[in-house]
Amino acid sequence: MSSSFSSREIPIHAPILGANQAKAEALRQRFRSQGMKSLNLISSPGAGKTTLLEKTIKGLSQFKIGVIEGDIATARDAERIVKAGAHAVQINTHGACHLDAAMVEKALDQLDGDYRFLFIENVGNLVCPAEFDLGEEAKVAILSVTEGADKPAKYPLVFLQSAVLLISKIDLLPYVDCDIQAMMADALLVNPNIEIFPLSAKTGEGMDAWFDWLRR
Amino acid sequence: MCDGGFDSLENMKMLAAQCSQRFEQEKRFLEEWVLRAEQQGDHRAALIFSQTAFELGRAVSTLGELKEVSSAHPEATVARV
Repeated sequence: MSSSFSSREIPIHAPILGANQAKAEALRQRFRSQGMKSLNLISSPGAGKTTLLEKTIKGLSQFKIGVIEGDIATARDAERIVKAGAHAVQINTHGACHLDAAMVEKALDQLDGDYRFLFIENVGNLVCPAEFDLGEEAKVAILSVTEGADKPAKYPLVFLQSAVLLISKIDLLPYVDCDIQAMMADALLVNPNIEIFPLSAKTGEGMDAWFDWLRR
Repeated sequence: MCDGGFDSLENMKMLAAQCSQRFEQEKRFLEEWVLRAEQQGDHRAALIFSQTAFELGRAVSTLGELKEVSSAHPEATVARV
């Protein structure tokens, strides 16, 4: 064989998430300049994000709170948030499995802008939302005890990128086969810096530690 | 729809168009290399180049379908509640 048949590299000079990243950085600046603590809440469907937010809004009622709700369909979550006492914008992705920075930018245009806290409840999914920066100050992963202890090891990216892990529905621990110590150990193995708060939005157990973290 | 990490439909279409163009170009190179390998009597190399060119052709065809798939996926809507 002739040496003229060498390997060839095909360069594609465009970062796949470049447009999103640029928009996310602009949003981060906007949140900072407005003094908003912005958090991107990520979990599986049914982990309790909206219930947690309802209780958080009531627990931090002295602050003005805005919420961006992401769902494939319906405004049900946003309606619950408004009933709890916060301002809410509902994004319907019509099939997309995550929010992106452009959607958040569009949603922000419909909010007031002078919130102390801005919560972005992402589409229920432990995979794709972890890949998209929304300009948030921090990602917060929520994992319920009913989902099993193996999720941090099986879906590491979201736990690697999150500043906080909220282990939700701990009131159900007596009824489910979940080794919460193993869950926490795996999360810390993936991300030694992650702060973990086991809690129950239903009973209120552990919620104060979460509120304290928010007030920091 | 899981879009596999692309950050917008426009970006996805742009990258698909770039990839398609480059793959088409590489396919033409490979087809030339098939002829050159045959001329040099290296049938194994010719076969590998030929198969790779075929796969690139399939990729170009798949990328061409992307536009229709993307068009079927509506934009997100935003509403204050």
